This record gives sequence, C-alpha cells and structure tokens, in this order.
Amino acid sequence: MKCKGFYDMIKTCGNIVYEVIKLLVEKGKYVRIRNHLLKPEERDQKLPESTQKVPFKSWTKGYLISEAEMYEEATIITATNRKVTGILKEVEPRYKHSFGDFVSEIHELRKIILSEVWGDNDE
Amino acid sequence: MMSNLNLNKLLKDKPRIIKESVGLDYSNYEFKGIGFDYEKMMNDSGLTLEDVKHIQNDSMVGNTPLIELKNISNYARKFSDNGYGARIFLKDEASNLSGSFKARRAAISVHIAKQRGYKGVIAATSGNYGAAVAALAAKQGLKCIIVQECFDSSNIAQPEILEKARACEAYGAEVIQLSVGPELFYSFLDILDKTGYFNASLYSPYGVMGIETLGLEIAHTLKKTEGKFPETVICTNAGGGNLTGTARGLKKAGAESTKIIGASVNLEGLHMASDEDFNKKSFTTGHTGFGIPFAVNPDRSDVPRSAARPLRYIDEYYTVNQGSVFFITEALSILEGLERGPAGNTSLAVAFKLAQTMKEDEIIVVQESEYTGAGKHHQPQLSFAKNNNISLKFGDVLSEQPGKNIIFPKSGKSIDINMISLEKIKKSYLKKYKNTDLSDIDYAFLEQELRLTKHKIKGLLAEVKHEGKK
Repeated sequence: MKCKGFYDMIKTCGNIVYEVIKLLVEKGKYVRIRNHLLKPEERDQKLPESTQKVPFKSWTKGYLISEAEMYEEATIITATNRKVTGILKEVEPRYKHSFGDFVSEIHELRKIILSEVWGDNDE
Repeated sequence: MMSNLNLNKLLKDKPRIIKESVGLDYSNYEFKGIGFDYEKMMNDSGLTLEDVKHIQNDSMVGNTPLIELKNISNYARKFSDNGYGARIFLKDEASNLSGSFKARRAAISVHIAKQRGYKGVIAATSGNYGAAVAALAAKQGLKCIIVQECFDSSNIAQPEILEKARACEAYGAEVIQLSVGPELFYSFLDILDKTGYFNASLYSPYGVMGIETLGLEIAHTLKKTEGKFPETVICTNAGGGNLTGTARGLKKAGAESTKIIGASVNLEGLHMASDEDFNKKSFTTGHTGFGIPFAVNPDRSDVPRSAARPLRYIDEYYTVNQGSVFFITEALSILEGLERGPAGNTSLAVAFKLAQTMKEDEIIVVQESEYTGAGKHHQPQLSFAKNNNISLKFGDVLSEQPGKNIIFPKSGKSIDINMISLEKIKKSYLKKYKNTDLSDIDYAFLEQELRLTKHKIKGLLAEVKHEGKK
C-alpha cells in the first residue's frame, strides 16, 4: 500500500478499526435473528398493561445467506428452507437452560418423604 | 425487508387459512343455531380406532407400561382410614417417542398430513406437543415448524420452554419463538399461509382421536391383569384434549362406569397474557390458566370447532398447588425410581389425596407422565422461581399464592386439593347464550355439551340472566 500522506494513513487505520468494531459475521454461519412483529400501539387493545406497552417480537435461527453485521439486518435460511430477515442478535447460539442452582428445599422434601415411608435412618 | 404482521388481513383470511391448513371444512358439521355435530366431526376422518393403533405402533407410540406405584400407594395409605387407600397406577407415557402422551396426538396429525400430500406440519405449542410433532415429522420426512410463546419483554425465557425448543430442534424442526401475547395466533396464521403446511392442531379431531388409544390401553390392560376396569382415571387438564380422548377411549373399551377426574395446577391470580406474570409461573401447562377457559369456551382454540370438549366427559375437577406437585415429583423419583417432569405429575398429586378416600382394593389410574431433563425438572423450575423472587416455604399448601410463593407440604399428609364446581364452569359456559333465543336443536346440543337436562340448563341460564342484571 502506497501511503500518500498523514491523512491517508489515518483513513486506513480508521477503516481497519471500523472493520473490527462492526463485527462482521461470515456467510453460512448459524445465527439467531430477531424481529419486531408489532409495535406497542399495533397490539391488541385488551391486553394487560405490561404486555400492551412492549413490542411483540419473534426469534428464529438459521444460516446467514450473506455476510452480515451484528445488530444489523440480516437474512437467514431456516431449517425449513425459509428465507427470513431480521436483526442479527447471536452467532452460533448455545442452549442456556440447565438443571439450575442447588435448591435445598428439594433435599428437605426428600428427607420428609424417606422418613415418612421408611422411617428415620437413626432409629 | 422486515416482516411485520398485518392483523386485519390475517383476521379476514383466517377462515380460508384454517380450511386449507387443516383440510377440514368445519361448515359440514354445523347445525342451525349454536351447535354442531360433534360425533360426525370425530368420525369423519375415515380412521377407525384400529387404524389409529396401527399408525401409532408403527411409530413407537402407544403401548406404554401401566405401573402400579406400590410405594406411593403405601405412602398414601399411611394417611387413610383402615381399609382405605386405593392402588395408584401410572401410565408411563414418558416411554412414548419424544417422551410424552403428545406423541399419540402428533402421530395421527402427521400421518394425515403425509397422506394428503402436505410438505410440512406446523403446531403452535410451548409444550411437549412441539417435540412430538417434530419427532413424528422427522420419521415421515416432513418439514416441521413449531411456534412457541417463550420470552418476556426482558428476553427471559421459561427454562421448561427452552428445553422444549431444544428438543424440537434436535428432531430437525424450525422453532419460531415469540414474546408473550395472544397475537401468537396471528403469527401462526401468517406462517401457515406462507408455507402451505398442515396445521397439526391439538384441537382437530386427529389431535384428540390419537389419545383414545390411551384410554383403551388402560381399560384393556387392567381388565386382563386385575379382572376389572379402574374405578377412577385422573387426567391432568389444560386444553381438554387429554381428558376428552382418554375418556372416549375408556368408553369405547366398555369402561362406562369409570369415573373421569380432571386435575390442574392452581395458578389463580396470574394473567395468562401478562408479560409481567409470564415468568412467575412454575408450570407452563396443566394449569388452571388453560384448564378453566378451555372448559368454559372450548372453541377458543386454533380451529373453528375444537375436538377437545372436557365438559362432555369430566365427572369431578380438582386443583392442586405447585408445592404439592413438586413434592409428589420428588416422591415419584425417590420412592419409585421414576424421574419424570413435574407438569405431568399434576394428576399424581391429586391422586395421592383422592386415593386416601377410596377403598384399598379400588384402582385409580394416573394416565400420564412426561420426560424430564435440563429446564423441565423440579430443580431448575424451583431455582428459576427463586431468581424471580418467588419465596419457597413449608406450610399450608392451600394458602399458596401463585406468583408470590410456592408452599410445600410438611408431610405427605398435608397434600391437599380443592374441588372446582363443575356447575359454576357450566354456568360460565352458558353466559355467551344469555341473550340467545335457543331452539330445541340448541338445547339438545347443550344437553350433550354439558351433560345436563334441558330443565337444568334453563335454570342455569335464568341464574346467568339474573346475575347479569345485578
């Protein structure tokens, strides 16, 4: 690259920084997109207030049909070969549910049940 | 371009979309007036109960074990009078393909979709039915889309629903997840219209006739092994299809005098369309938020005439609190070696209490169980409740306030239930006709719907009118 001067150098550096910040996601990646299907004012008027005041949204997963930027519009191909456009929210989304934290009350239930059915171990 | 929903257009196109996607012309069954020919609709598929059995057996659905829960029965007997404490049996429906009785319903819907040349199937469900449709569609080589109500406005999902989404994806389905709200129905219509796929509705005749084999199997198995039909069968009740199908199957097997009981988790006070309340629930199905409105108004479903009509079959209806269902879920695991999902154990919690009032040689059948796993298990559900500031306590189970606390019984003895007045539900059902001039055909329909005499119906309608004037 031939550098003509100070401004060109700044511009080149700026472009590199921009490319990094805009978080480009490559074509073919498995992603999750989100859509706003209805604005609050478009929603059913008979809804409870907490539902009425928020948008109605949808999430779908699929493969990016072309390179896309995070948090910008992107189009995917879903498992049923549908083309869907929405905002790119997550790349290679993982399953986040689990068996949860330890719940001591379950152990209390267990003790009650076992002692009522089989008697206390200490006896 | 962003896709948005055009509610007015979808509402206008609804009859056409439903007709094309279910492949049934519901107008064929309509009577003049308010009613329709329920039995004609149920028998119009051309499938006999034998055909249903074959379709299911071909797909590893049905013929699930009926297990006597001897330790749990003995446990209930400790709190019964001498000579009381019925034998509790469990139909282990978790052994079906995809892990729940819903596979019975999906098997028939997917079979019909395949037979009629649809390229794919769609179901609107946050429950086990999604995994069931996805698994059966996978076997038939059909595409599958499951539409779920999943996230609140803070993008927090019910762990149980996330697990069901994972299961659907494991069977190759596309899952569309939505935020809270009844507009799910429009999203569902939109996707049906755009894809031309089959609507594998839980409420179509296919969705209900698939469960008839469950009732039939219970009756046949017990007749063979115990020499009699069960005195009582108890069904967890949400949309009503489970109870309706099971009862129809029992009757077809000749078990006419078996008592049919419905059981739902009490979620009184939590609004089903509320974004705020959505994640305060510890049960996403089997609860009163579905059970009561679907009994009062069965045709509020995604088809014009629902095949799930629980009031035609139900003899008694009970609610139980969340804490008692978690208690019995732990008991099933620790006493019987059966680790099963909590929602499916709703009727077991009620059976535990009812068994204490039945004679020790009588049989009460809990007609389902469901698979368990990450998310849909009592530990993640209770852990999730704690994170949502729901307090966990031990004490009087009937004082539980859904959305505020979960109260566990201090002993098996303290598991308690509430009877719901069926007369009250039937009265609510009749409210929509308070200003209608009913004909003899209408009354004949209502007599079947509500299992009441014309005289009684007239009396209830008079009460409804009178209360309306107050």
